[in-house]
Amino acid sequence: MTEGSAINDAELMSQTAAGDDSAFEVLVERYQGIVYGTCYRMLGSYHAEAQDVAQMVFVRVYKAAGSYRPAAQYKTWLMTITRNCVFTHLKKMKRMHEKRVYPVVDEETDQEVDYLDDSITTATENLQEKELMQVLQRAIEQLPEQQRMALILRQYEQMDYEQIARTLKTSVASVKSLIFRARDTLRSAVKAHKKN
Amino acid sequence: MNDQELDRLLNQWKTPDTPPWLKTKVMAAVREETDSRQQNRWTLWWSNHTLLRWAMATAVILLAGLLTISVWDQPENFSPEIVSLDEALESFASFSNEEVSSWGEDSF
Repeated sequence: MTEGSAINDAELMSQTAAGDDSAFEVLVERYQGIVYGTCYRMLGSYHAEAQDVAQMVFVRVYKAAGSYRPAAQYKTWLMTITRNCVFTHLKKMKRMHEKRVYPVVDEETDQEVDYLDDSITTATENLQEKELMQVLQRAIEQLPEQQRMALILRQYEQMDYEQIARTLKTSVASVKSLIFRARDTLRSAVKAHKKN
Repeated sequence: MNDQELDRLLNQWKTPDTPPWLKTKVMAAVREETDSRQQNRWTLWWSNHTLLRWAMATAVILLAGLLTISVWDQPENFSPEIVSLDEALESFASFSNEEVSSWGEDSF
């Protein structure tokens, strides 16, 4: 995210606060990928839930448009709201004792979906990688929420430690530790799977 | 397993494309939110102004009273062609006759 677009985001937010819905539409267009992607990964690859939570995030952003101060970088502010919505949703899910089942099924076609990189060529490799990915995804899902969020923001949204610290309302040292522990757990899970 | 290998694996986890209807759904939810907020604001404002509600009710009653009085004060506005009691009686009699004869035609 460049400085220029950050200023632009702030302008769009002030226009939104003034009641300009088209300004908000631009923001949604710009950030829906990041918000949806984070929700999707945090909620264990469930499309419908990710969509609902992403929608909730944007509605909250809209409601809070008046309280946004350009001092905070927009992306960090947005990810803080995303984190709050995701954590609230996860708490709700925990209360309902819902269990996640892999693999992911496409809602429209009812077909199994895998979002592996296409660069994997042979069938055996693909199968092995698929298995590894499933192990990895399960391991990510079992990570504590803060560790998972920190890892996702760093790995997939390329946020720096300071931004993540602000999003998770913690210190930079703590973020580094969270990511280190998360990666360590994932490494162990993959190792254990390979041994078996 | 080293860091690079873990990164390679992690980077294979792709998310599906953002559904195209997400923006539409968000904007619809936002519009709904705006509408309900405006509605709530009006309801809240209205319920908080008891004095104003009483004042408006009184004004409506007063207006209705004034209208009634003004109508009573100017009966000629409603029948300008009737100038005397005799004429009024004549007009009533002719009207009644017409009515009675038309009833007769319809009934038999």
